[in-house]
Amino acid sequence: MNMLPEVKADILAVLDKLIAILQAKDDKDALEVRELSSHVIHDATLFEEKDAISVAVFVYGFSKIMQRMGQDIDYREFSAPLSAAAKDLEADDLEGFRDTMRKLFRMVSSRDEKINLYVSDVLRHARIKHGSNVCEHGMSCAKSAQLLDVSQWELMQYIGKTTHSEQMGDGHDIRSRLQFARGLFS
Amino acid sequence: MKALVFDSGPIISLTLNGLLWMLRLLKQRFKGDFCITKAVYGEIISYPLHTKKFKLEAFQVLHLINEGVLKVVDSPAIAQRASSLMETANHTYSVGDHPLAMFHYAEMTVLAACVELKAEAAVVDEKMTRIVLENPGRIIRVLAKRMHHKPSMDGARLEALQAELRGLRIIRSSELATIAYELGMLRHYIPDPSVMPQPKAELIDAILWGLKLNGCAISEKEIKQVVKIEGK
Repeated sequence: MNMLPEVKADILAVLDKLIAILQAKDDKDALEVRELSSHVIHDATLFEEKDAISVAVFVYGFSKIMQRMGQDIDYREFSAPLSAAAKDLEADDLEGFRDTMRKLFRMVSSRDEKINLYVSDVLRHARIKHGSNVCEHGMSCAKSAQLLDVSQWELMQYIGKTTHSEQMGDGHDIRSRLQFARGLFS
Repeated sequence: MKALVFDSGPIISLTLNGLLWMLRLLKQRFKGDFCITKAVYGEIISYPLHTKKFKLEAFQVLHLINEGVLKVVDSPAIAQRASSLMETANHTYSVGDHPLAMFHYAEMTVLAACVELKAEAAVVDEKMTRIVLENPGRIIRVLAKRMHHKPSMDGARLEALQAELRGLRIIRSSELATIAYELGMLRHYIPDPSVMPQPKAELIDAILWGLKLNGCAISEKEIKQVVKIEGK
């Protein structure tokens, strides 16, 4: 099945920007890359698009590794597979695209034995963070957890530390809520 | 028989705050069943039992089930109604031609069980389920802001959803904890006034913030209001 044109365009835009950032090292690279990851997250919400999630998780995780490794990371190593992924996607070769994405995940995970545990943690965190973003875009907590393949326990803990619950007006005021609850236990 | 049907969220936020025991006392006072659906059981017990993280918490919830404090409910009628609710709810809001599948089957089983069991209320900490029942127009504004696309709402489907769930009330773990506090179930936590000037207000504030920080969708403004009401 082909990817929806909107999703394909968004993923390609993110990959192109990432490849452009990797052309030359700059202090702001990690920050710019992290911001890129949120560009595809609305596709995940709207279309439940696993490839968009995969790209968002990779890009966010990669930004954290850039932050951690600083000058030690070799951009050129990642540019070629990223270009290959973009090329595969452009040609609607979804199998090729997914294979390359898997290869990219493996590359960041096996960078360095010392960093391996950190990477797994970062990628897990990226899933939880994007689960929270999807939630903020209007999906329920359980649905977001399912989509990002994280447990609701993890997601609830993360969401609790965000401002999500400050952002929505409610139907009932707190006094009437308490009055109703009191009635249940009187 | 009276019943409250719990979604995963309140069980998770109570467990993570070490307040799960409260359900035992609340149930005695309620004189009815505290139910979870089979799908919710899967989320809060089966899934974490296969992981390292939250496995211990899953055991704690399982213990409450074994004690009979939480009752697992399941029936073809609940499953059928949940599927039908999910079909309606997940086609109520759209962006362009794409319906927004906002809800998970487990959440719909909670609402379906409430209807089938004629439950007094659903206990849900998650905000979207609550808002769609209490303030559906608000969802459009949130989606428009977040999605960068103009969403639309199928009025007929929303009406059908609301008709099916008419009269269903939702409470959160924060309301349960506040009632437990009012009933003196948490009084052993209240320190001597020499430790802090307003121990009752501080305790209720601490409980509500604990629940909020573990996912209960209660706003800071609401917490302040409850502290003002209860902390005297």
